[in-house]
Amino acid sequence: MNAPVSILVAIGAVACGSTDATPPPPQIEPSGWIYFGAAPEPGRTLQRVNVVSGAVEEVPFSEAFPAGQTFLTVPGMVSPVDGRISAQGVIAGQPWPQTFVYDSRTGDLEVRGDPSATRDFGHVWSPDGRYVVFERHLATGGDGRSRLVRLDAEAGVTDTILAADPPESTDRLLWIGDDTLLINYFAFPEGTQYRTLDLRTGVLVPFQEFRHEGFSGALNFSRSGQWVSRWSYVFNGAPDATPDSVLLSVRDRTTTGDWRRIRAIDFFSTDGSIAVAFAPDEAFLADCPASDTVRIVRLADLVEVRRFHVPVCFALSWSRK
Amino acid sequence: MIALIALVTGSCGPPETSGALNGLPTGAEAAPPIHFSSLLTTCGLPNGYGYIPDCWPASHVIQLQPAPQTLQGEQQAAVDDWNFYLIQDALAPRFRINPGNITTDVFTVHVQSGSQYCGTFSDPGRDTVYIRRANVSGDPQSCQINAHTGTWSVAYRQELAGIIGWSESVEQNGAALFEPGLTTICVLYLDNTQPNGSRFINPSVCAHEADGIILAYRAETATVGTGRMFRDTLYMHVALSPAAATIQVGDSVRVLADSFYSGGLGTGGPPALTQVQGHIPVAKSVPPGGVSWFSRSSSAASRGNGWFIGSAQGSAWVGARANGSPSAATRWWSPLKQRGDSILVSVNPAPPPPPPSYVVTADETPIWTPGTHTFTAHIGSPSSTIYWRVDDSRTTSISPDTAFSTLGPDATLHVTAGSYTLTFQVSLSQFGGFEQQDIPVCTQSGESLQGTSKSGGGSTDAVENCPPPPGSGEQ
Repeated sequence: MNAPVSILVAIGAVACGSTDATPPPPQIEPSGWIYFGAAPEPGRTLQRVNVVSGAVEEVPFSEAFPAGQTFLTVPGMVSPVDGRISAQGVIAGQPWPQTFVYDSRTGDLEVRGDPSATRDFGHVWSPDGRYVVFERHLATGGDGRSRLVRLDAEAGVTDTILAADPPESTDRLLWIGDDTLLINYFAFPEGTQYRTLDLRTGVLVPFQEFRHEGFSGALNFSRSGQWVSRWSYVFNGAPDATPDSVLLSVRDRTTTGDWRRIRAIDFFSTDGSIAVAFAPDEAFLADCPASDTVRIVRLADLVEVRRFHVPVCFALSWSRK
Repeated sequence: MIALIALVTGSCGPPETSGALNGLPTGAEAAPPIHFSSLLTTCGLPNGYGYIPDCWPASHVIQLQPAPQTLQGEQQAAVDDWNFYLIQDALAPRFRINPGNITTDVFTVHVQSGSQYCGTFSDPGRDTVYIRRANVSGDPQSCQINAHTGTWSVAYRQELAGIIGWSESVEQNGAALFEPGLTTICVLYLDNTQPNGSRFINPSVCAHEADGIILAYRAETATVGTGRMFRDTLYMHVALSPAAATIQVGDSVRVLADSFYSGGLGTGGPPALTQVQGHIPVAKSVPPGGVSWFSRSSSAASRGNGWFIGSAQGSAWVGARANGSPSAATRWWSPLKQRGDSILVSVNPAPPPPPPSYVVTADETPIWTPGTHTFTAHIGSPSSTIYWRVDDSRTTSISPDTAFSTLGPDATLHVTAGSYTLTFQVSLSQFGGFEQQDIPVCTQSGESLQGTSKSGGGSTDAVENCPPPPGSGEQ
């Protein structure tokens, strides 16, 4: 983010030596599509807004989806590279819901189910758009153990990358770069903790950078892991059972800079969402200041650069396409 | 009172088999509040089996009070899990987070912060869910000692089971309807033996798997007699070989289905229920025509009799479904009838595409119109990080004017009016290997744009690559 600033200074020097007013040089602007939605309920299906034009449209599901959207919209379920969608849903000719990879613009559909699975959920694409990771419960299991499965969307093969034992829960998944997963990991008696899974080594360790505050969706990372946003409880006085407010802030993890406040909400507020998504180019952040509003903030100076009216702002994913 | 009237006039019918969008009603009108307790007075509690799907009015949706924003993701996940199974079996009711314009049926109280939670529901009203935080000394609202705990989402999921009628005493009360083990580790019943000795709430709605079997079994026998459940042979799987296969496009592989066998709903190791007296311990050979073959992907096509041919790069689950009618001694597990068992066939990939002829292209070349344009780098893969340097020929003392990176090949830039050249350099590394592409900008009006330059030399008005402006008549 330092490059554009230094360029502006340099351009200014050139302009002082010329009688002609030099227009500003090209700068990166927000682009692509922001996907959002909620439960598979009427009027709350997966939609997207064109960041450049502001046009809002419902994501079309082909005749291969006779019941339309039958899955919950979760952050990261849309590939940041090409807009493909991955979830488990009802698909024509498949009497059992299946994990799929679907391109809503071409209609291309790849069914990647496993007959041993009853439930796949929480599908999240890797930053490079190659892998999808999700949690799986097995038909022959039902034992409460969480399997994390990685689908190679190019090769169409899956592998189990974590099988928790004894029974523990992994809940929401986040990518930090292309090789690390952040897991909301529940274990008794510790409760929910952040743990990272190194996909190169398979090592699962506690993530000490943040303390888990009991709700998923508190953290979001940009593509490379450079930027992190955090929702954190604010207690006036000694911490007790009911926070006074919840604060959204952002930090550049490659510097020693402080957290910068974006906004705060009342703890009991229900109008809006804590959803946050970083732009694939890592220059912008989108959030939901109200239930019907998507907003884009420039990370360099936290200036709001776009605002869109949408049906429901929930579970954001930002994709180039 | 409204609820009772609704029950008398419209309840206890069959659940919907097909609904509006996604199995949920499209109307936003208020439905009369109906709670399990009122259904109980009409339908009773047969065999201690609390969830009575037929007793819920078809298409009934239970409106849930929205949780605070920080917990809405957790709440949605729990609701989605239940709707997933209810929709799958075309059962009522369904859950919805109340959008705010209709009456709330179920409220949530004791919303607190914490790292682990437990829950209860009001009984007999079943109109309130209590989610409490665990392990807080001195807090009278926190969980009782030895409560089962989990994330907020799984605690809420557990209590939704109570809202629709599940009881935690199905096994505890000794009902003979279930063999021991069936629901031991499912969401509705949490015992204190291993693995639940850790007081962990199972995050899956696995009780509903049992429900699916019960429904299918009941449909075939017309009765659900206490003590009869699981006394007949229930085939759950068909054995397939090989376990997996890899073929080339155009090649074929044959899959063999040699026997039907009983599985279990246990821990994934030896089927827990096969050890129980009278329960599904057998296997039998697949008779001729006993299965129908299928492929779930266009990458492999079924040729019949177990033969599959690789037709496109990728992979496909191919398999077989049970193809016979149930008899007195043979019952099919409904998933075996519906989805069958499968193996994965991988079909080797096609050769990579030829390299592109341009390094960078624009959505318009030359750039005729000022404003936002998309530029595409033709290096790397669609998921590569591209490092860009862009130089504006008007700023002769600075090169490049801007540098940035993108995920994937596209960059959106605002191009100002004028006649000049944008020189793009792109690389897969920020440290070198840059390839260059010039793209002319030809938006200036009132003068010829072809090959002109300002007097006095210099290259700030670089328009050498501009074709004649539209309407100039030049060739």
